[in-house]
Amino acid sequence: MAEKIILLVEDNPDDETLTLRALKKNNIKNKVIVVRDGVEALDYLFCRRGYANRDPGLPPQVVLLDLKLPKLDGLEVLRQIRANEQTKLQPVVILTSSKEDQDLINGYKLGANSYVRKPVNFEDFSEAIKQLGLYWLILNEIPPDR
Amino acid sequence: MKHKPEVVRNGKETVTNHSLNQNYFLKQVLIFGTAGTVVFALMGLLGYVPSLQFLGRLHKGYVPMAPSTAVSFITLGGTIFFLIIRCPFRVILALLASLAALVSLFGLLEVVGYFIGIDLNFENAIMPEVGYLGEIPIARMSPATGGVFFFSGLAVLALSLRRPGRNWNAHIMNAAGGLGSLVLLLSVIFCLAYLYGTPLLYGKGATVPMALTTALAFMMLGVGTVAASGEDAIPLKVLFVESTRAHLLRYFFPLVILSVLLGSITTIPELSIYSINPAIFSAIAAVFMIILTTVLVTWIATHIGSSIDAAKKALRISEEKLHLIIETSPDGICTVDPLGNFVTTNIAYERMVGYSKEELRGLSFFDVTHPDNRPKNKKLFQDMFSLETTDFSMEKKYIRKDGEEINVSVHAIGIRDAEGNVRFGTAFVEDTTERKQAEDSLRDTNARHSAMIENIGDVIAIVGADSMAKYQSPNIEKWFGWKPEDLVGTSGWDKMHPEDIERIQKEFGKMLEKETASIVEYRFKCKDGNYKWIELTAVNRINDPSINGVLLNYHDINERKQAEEQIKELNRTLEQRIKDRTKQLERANKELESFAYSVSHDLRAPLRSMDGFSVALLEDYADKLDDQGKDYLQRVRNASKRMAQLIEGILELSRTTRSVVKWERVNLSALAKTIMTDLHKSQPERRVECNIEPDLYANGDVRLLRAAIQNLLGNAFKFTDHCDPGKIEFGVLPPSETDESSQTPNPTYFIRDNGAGFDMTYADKLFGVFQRLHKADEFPGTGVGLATVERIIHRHGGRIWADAGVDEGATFYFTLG
Repeated sequence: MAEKIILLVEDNPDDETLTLRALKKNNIKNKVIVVRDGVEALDYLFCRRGYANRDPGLPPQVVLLDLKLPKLDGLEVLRQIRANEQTKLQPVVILTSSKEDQDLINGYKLGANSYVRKPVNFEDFSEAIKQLGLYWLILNEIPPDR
Repeated sequence: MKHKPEVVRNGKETVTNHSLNQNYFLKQVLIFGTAGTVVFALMGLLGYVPSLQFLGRLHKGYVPMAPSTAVSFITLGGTIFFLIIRCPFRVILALLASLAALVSLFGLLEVVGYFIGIDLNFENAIMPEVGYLGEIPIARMSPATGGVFFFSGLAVLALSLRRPGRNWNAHIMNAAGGLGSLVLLLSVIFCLAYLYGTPLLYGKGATVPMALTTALAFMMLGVGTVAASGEDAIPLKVLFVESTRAHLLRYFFPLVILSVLLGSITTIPELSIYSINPAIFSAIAAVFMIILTTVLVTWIATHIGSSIDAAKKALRISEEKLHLIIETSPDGICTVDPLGNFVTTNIAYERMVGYSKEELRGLSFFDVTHPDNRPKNKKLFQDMFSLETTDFSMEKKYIRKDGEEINVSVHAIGIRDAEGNVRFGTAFVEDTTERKQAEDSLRDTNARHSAMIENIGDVIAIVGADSMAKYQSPNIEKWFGWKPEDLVGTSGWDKMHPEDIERIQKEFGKMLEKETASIVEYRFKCKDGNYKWIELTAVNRINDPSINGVLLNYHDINERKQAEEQIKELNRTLEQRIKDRTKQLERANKELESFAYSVSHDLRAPLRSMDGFSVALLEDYADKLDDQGKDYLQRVRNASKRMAQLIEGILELSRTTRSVVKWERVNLSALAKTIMTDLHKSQPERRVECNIEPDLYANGDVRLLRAAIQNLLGNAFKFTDHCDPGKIEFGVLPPSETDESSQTPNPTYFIRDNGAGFDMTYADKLFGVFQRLHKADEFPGTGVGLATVERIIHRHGGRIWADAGVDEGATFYFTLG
């Protein structure tokens, strides 16, 4: 069985550190690929540029997508993921600070599989990451290879 | 075309006929006289034919007419004849008049010759002596004949000078008539002398007497001359004038002549030849005379008496009529003597002054005249008697018997006697009290109307159909500077702004056609040359005789018009301003949204770092930190948590402003119940009694209303923390207790608790953002909740207010729309 990869799209290094710490704390040892902007996220998923050599047959188990990103924002990234035949079924969880109605609505409209808000309180944050890991990496089955 | 004879009417007709008849009669007499003269003259001439001697003498003992006499008669008769037929040839008339004068002169010479003893018989030259009758030579003119010819010639000469219309004509005709009468009288004397058997001048030597034919011819000539002088001249004037005297004269004059003639008949010697005893004859004649005279006098008396009776009766009827008219006259009529004492009064007059007829007999009209009017009245009255003025009129006051004063209008006339002296004054008096009162009342009404017209805000005017002003009320000066006389007689278009004329003329024409009212606005030129907007109402009253024009009222609307212009200008720009403002709002809203978005995203991330790394320090470096260090880190964590709450509150608040209200029917009771259940669950250990009125519905946005009620109930739950049991109530006020300022039937909801309450002094801060009335350690909170609630209520068009006291609980009231 292939390794279950998490793609973390996060431009804030603090959040990246805290996320990784939370995963570690909760004994989630899966490989985490971190990309810092929307373009890089798409490059990884579409195996372009720096990720051209990546095996497209091994998509991430889940994409943790922040919305506020440099270059391309999270919703645009999601739109392109869903628009691409290769990646349209890719599970994507929006993980963001915002609780704005428009973000929630647009996120689900564009086909996000889940919308999780990052709590300010670290204990709550840690718990949320733990639940996400448990759910998406263990409980949830991703669609078969395309 | 058919000519109808001119019909002469009524009284004039009879007068004219009468005069025509008289003229006709006179003409007959004239012709008879003239013809008779000529006939006797011809007889005189024929008498010289030997076998016809009788014609010239009529009696063998009498002398015949002299040929010169006959020629003179024919001359005078012919002259009169030509005068009758109105001979158009002046030459002939002049010739005849000269001949008449010649005859007169000839006659005069004959008389003069007789008295101085010179025989001027011109006949001797042209006519041989025919013989003698006794000592009297035949065919010679008598000096008496010459004398009568003198008068006759003058009479005919006078007749020939007739010039109707000249002022001396009457004198000439009088002379002709008078001379004719004299000739007639003289001829009658000679005739009677013949009749009585003692012809004049016979047996006096060689003096030639007047022939009988000559005397008869003179009689005819006299009659003709008198008739020719006309009825307007002496002597006929006396007989023909329309008076009782002339009337009686016309009857008695012939009667007297007849009786004298008949009375003398017995003395005529020729009649006694019939071998009748003269005494018996006289007796029979006397009896005959008595009978004849009696019959005639009786006939005349009957005829004249009945006509006098008829005249008297007519006079009486006329007087009665007059009396009736006077008595029934609605005007008072009175007659007074020169001193002003009443002589007669009529009923109306007596009623007017309130005295009886008898009482008035002892009074003068001055007694009933108001003292103020007496001097003037006296002067007018005296003038009427003494001066040329025959009447006067005056308005004065009477004092009635009962003391009441009445206004009268008097017209007085002086009644003159035959000599032209004023003997009485008659006055026609009209009671004008009521009329005067009506006039006074009318004057008052007019004054009132004038005052009203002058003081109302509108100027009143009347213009004709030609737009010419007939009237402008005086208050025009106050508003527009013009005096009424400046505009009366000028056209309305003169003072109109040129740009308005065409529009108003059209409207004016329409109004005249349809006879309706119309209201127009236009610019009216003031005296100072400025134009003012006026509103003018025009009512067509052309057919109303009291106005006979268009009734206008107008007033200054300049300020209103300017305001309207400003409003129009504002309206024109308003749309653009709204567009601009909307754009600004949209931009601001967008900015707010992006601000909120970035707040939502970016402001929380650093807080998370602060908290996260604080935890990391506490966990990873716990052994290197003492308790104080750990406490500090904990404070950092608390601060970031609090900061996160504040950000959450602000975002919530901004969300209520930004979101669109979706209207639907909301069950407030159900909302409240759910919220309370959740609150109970959050602190299950607390005892809170909750009373929610069922079935409270309202129109609004369910999400926003939930947020509002959540905040209010949340507050109530929070502030009853120290109460056991806490009491929370949600309901609606009965309609009577509804907010006094609210006229709408919108219900007032309330949420009441028995908790900590607050000091009403700070009530104004209650709904401010981040405003808190309690310490954070006492009751936690961000200070955004009530601000959010207020904003939600306002977005629903409602109000929210509170009533509370410290430790007495709090009640929040709100309405929705």
